[in-house]
Amino acid sequence: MLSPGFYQRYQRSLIEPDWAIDLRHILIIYDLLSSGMFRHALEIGAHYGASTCAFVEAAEHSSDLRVTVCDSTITSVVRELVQRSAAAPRCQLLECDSFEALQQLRERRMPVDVALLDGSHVFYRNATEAALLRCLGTRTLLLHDICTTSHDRYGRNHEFDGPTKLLERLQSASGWFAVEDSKLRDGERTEGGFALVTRNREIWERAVEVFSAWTSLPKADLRRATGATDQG
Amino acid sequence: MPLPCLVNTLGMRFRLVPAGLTRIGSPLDEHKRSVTDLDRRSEMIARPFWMAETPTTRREYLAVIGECPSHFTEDFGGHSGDTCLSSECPVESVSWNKANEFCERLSRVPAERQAGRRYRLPSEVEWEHACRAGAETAFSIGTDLPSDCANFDGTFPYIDGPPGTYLQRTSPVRSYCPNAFHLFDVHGNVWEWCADLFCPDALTSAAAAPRVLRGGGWHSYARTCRCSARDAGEPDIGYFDQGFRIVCVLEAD
Repeated sequence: MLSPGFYQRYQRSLIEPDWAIDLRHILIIYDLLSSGMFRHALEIGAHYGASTCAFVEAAEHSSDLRVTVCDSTITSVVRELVQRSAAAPRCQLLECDSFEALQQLRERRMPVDVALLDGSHVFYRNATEAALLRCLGTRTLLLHDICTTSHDRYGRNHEFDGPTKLLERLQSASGWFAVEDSKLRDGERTEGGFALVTRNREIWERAVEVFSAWTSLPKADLRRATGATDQG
Repeated sequence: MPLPCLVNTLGMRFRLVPAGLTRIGSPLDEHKRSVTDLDRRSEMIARPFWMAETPTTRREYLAVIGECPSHFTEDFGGHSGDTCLSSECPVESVSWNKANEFCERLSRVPAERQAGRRYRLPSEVEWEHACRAGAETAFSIGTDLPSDCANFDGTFPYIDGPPGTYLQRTSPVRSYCPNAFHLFDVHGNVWEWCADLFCPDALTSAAAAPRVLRGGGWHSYARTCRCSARDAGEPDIGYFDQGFRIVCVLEAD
């Protein structure tokens, strides 16, 4: 269950530019992370904290969950969001390049169960992040903006084809399970696409349920579920 | 003077890569260097070794394993005009475990045993030494990799310039010029498994620890096809751009 007044609490992060992750996908992340299936979740690319809300909120509701947020610049919004959380002792901020963050986690012997890749969208960087995550035992990835090369929203821009190409590659092998949402919905930004890919069938089955629940909800119900008002 | 050549019972051709001191890894100032590259250093290759001229093809894989995985088509050996159907394309979608099984099974073929030959994956030092063929530049052919010299995503060239070709699939081996050791497809086409662990301190079980891939593939940017570029792969997974190249060991050696 989300905190009462979720929307108001995280409003500074949720009112975001057009390219930010959609509320619907944020709620998918929250539900997955609070499912008890992960012990350490890593967010690469926080910016104003739209998806960070889901990580922090999940940590508050799952006492076993540890969260690491990494960005080359940690904005004051994200810093406050984390510091004011009841789960702050289990949340760490790494203000550095994702490669450096992954190296630090390896040196500190901190396995990562699940990682959201939403920093750079350049393939070689995402592929390198995926390689370094393999050293951390990561078996579940969350990918935002998987439709950059196919959707007008991005001008079909191949400069930002990282999530698309990484997903293609993972899906080419048996042994990875995937579920995605990239439906165009009026007034939302879900068409950028969001996917979960995992080596774990149980996690995938749970993810299919979570994706199905949140993607079938009308936007008005979605906003109500988060406590958003018409003004909010 | 061309390197000595050996041909096994499958018709696989091998070149005798010379021993000696070799320079591997990339210098810190190499253009588009990656954090996963090994640092530039000297390594001693103690003995010459027989390296396959090409990545293992679909024909060779089928002959040894009896089946041939492929992302592209099940129509093995077809003649539709799509070169992806060619049995001379490198096998892809092969895991590290399967690549090792290929080596073991080929080593057990009676004619190979009789000839005193066994097979294994190269170490990554051997792989890079063979790929470079003496070059200390980013690519075995020099400081750039035009898309008419290898099969990779030419949309993203190494040196800024007009985009090149992107085939979006594997191509038959030997379609591009070989390096100075007469090895083909050392850049692009398929990533090639090496024997080594990618990171010895991986936070996984030993069996699941990621292994090294080298050379880049058809799906890669030019920068990840550099001689020193590395990727990591789960040993039980084979992606559509992952194959392997083998080393032949002569018992007489």
